[in-house]
Amino acid sequence: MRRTKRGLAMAMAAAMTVLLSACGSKEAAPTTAPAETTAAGQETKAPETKALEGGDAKAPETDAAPGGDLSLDDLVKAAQDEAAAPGAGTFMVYAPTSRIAKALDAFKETYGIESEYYNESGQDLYTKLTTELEAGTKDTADVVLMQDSYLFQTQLVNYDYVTNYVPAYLEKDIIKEDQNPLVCYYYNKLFIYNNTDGSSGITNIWQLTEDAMSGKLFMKDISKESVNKNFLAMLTGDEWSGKIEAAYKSYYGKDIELDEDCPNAGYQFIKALLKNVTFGSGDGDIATELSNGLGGNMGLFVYSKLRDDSVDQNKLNVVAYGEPQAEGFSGFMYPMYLQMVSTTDRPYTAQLFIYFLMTEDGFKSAFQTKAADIGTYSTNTTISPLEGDRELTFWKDCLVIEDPTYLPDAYAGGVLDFITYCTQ
Amino acid sequence: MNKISNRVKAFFSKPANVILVIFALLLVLLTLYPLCELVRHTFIVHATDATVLPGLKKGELTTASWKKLLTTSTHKYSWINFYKPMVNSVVLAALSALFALVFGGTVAWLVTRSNLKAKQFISTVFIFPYIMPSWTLALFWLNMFKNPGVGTGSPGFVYSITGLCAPEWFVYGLLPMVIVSGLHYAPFAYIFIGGILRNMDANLEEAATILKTPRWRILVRITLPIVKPAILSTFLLAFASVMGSYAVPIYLGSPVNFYVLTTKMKTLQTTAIGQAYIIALFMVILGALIMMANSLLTGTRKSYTTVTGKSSQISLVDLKAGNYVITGVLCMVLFFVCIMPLFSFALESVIIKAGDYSLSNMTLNYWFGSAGSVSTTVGDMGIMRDPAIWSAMGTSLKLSLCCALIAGSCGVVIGYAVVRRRGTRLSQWVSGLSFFPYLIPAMAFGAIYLAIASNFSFLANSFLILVLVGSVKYLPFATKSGTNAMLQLSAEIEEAAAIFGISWWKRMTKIIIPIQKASIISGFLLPFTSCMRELSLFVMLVSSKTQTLTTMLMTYNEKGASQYGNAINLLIIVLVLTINFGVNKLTGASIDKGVGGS
Repeated sequence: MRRTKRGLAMAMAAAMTVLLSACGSKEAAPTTAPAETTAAGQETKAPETKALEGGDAKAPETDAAPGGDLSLDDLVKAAQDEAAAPGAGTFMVYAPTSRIAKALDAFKETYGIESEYYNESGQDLYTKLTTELEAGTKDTADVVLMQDSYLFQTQLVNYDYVTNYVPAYLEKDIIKEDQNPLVCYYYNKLFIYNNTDGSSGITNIWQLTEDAMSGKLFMKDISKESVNKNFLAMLTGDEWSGKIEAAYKSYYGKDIELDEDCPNAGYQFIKALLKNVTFGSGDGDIATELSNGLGGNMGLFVYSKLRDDSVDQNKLNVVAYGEPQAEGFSGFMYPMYLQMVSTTDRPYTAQLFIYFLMTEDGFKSAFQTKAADIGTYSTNTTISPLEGDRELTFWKDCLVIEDPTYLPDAYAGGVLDFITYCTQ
Repeated sequence: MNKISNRVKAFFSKPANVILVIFALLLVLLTLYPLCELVRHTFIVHATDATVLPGLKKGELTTASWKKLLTTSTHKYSWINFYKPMVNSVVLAALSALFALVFGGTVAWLVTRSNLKAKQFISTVFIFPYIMPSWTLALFWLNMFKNPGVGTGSPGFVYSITGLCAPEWFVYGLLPMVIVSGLHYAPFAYIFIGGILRNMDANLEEAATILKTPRWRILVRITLPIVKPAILSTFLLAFASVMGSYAVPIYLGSPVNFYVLTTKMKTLQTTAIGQAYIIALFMVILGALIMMANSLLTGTRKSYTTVTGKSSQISLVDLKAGNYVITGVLCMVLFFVCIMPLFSFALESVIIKAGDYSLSNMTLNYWFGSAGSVSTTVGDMGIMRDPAIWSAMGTSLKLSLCCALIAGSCGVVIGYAVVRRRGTRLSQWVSGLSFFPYLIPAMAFGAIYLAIASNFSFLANSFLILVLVGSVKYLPFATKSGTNAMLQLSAEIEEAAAIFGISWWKRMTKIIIPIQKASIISGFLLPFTSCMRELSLFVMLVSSKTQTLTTMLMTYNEKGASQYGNAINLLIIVLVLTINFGVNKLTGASIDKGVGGS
């Protein structure tokens, strides 16, 4: 019965914490202001976010983060002082990939600063982060690496939870248009097909909508991964619906006729495409199954799976490498935003880590550790893609890329309802 | 005045009353409060809602989410996102629970009340499907039956061996989901019903036999009524579990557009979380309805005391010629659903290219290889060399142990108090409340506790919050088995001791607990096992220091590193089995021993 007694005691203690939380949530102490973390005579000021107003992610960057004019050596020193300061909280990074662990190890090796991370690939990452930020939890993230432009915009940027920081030391190397908000790297998902029946892929995206492709097209369930939803939503924008319309004309030799529920060619394409799509549970499974499966099957999954041991890459071809390339697009690409959390109590460490991840050493320590790590493209132009892969500019040319300003409008206009309707 | 204080004194002089009052307060805090939060969130505009519900600002109160989800006809929104998944969920949950009951109940009866052969084997392997995370069973199903006629057309085991193509409805959709979920929860029925059957007083049946009652009549009029409470609570547990399960529908349902409430809830979480909470709420309501029906049917008037302290020798039903046939068929089925997956996991964890089972395609590098020996998108060495896996294993074990001890102990105490004060309002209240955590879908439960934990730095990202959530969530198992155990125990035994002036403490530790040891231990082992393979409950609450084996497993499965996934899966099962075996050796009891075995 000793067990019982202890169980009771613990349960009671637990219940009390819940009670406390019920009445104490409002008084929860706000995250320590970074003013205490003075670095070697440097003027410190709370990293206010003026950078991004409302839904406008393209607003010009302002003096978002403190210490932007520090020399790199001073920044390193300031960060190390932060870590050594009495009562320094945990330096925490949230990311959608477990690879972040390697980057943090390398960061520690280089600068001697300890850190922790949390990784989860979906919406849970946002839920956890925003819940903690709202409550003012002390040990929440200091730096975040986030995917899904829609959620990034509507859950973080719109509420000034994150602050953009572009390390001045690398400013000239980082692609201008990827500086605000700062994109660390891009992932791509490509149309890839099984060639064992002599298939030669497609020359026009409208081929994917034909009856011959029925049940032969595979992508990860959109309810499991939101970037797939974003990709479809992007097709309804002016840019891509225009290209889709043009592709229709060149393929069928006539103007597209729109159904009543389709405001533009993008909608019409989604409707026709989803009719043929079978949802899979994950990109890895789709890649493996595709290479084992029937010729002519087409998948839309992350490029890097092609180099997985379990995938027979000789049986698979990439549409984007076709000559000529398919008219329309060859897949899609999504950014990984690298941001400082506005209320961080370790601002210099956060900046140093962002700098580190944008350098070749930092990036390669986690995201290009081996020859198989294709499909990951740093926005730092001095970091070249791996052998057999192409430059970021090649992909930007032929892939649909998320636009954080269009997506919220599209979702507000009910695109998702339409997409869901089409999956039935 | 004196009268009242005397009455209060009298009330609290009974240990059962003290226990009930304490737990009533605790449970209100730990379950009713989260439930209220859930309701509140359905009326709040969250960041995601603000974008899809134009004109509203984050933090405002609104009924817009309700209107949108329940009454939108554009693009058949409400039908697609709510009504149809709801129908699917109810059908799936009801059929699966039924399947689990019939299968688990039948096997429990055969093991405890007949002279079936190979009881030890059956009893041991029957709980395997429950130990495996449910989606791995779904994966196993796909590995078995996929064929060129469905999906990507990659060949599965059965097709490779026999060349037979299973039709699509057999590979994906309602049927395989019912079978997989039913198999997964059949051990519930086996454990709860079996526990009662084993302990029940055989005098009743013997009396009937002496009076020449036909065997089927004994079954229908005596045996079934005695196990009815266990049947109903098993149905409830299985129904609520299937209702809240997410992984099986994702693997077996979504390829054929079969959506249920959980899969829709997950989708809506990213785009309209208010509506996701409404779905969660309806899942709770559906579960609560079943619970009410349950308590109506069980009622308060009947109490089947099955352990009276009088000697009873259970006479086994002779299966005669059918014995070998039944044993054979059962063993074959169990071998297929309980042992085969283990082989399959082991095999899949060593082959490099899927589908090629030649020796040249095999390697142990996914288990023991040094850094750089394998190439996947998530890792490059064997899991046994990965310190992260070792730390996750430690966390999983520690966590499951804590949750099992806390939930199990509370369960025994609650069970005792509820049964002793049976029929009182307080007792009904506590017994109902203790079941509520199970009705709240794990995903929503985790999200609510995250919000609570965020207000306390010592809870956020801590191990403590995992223990708290796990203990509360699995309390129903422990309470059910505690209540079931106490229900069978005649109060006379305790009363006899009380007359001799033996203290409550001693009565519990020397009489009640020893008698019902088997049932009570299963009350500890169930939360332990559930905790070891739980994912959605913990996924938002872990940090890099408190990763569990299942959160690592999901990462690997998500990223398609199936060898790692299979290896970890096997690791979890082996761990649970080892612990089960250890408990068996130390205490002489185990999940399966509670029912039959030697």
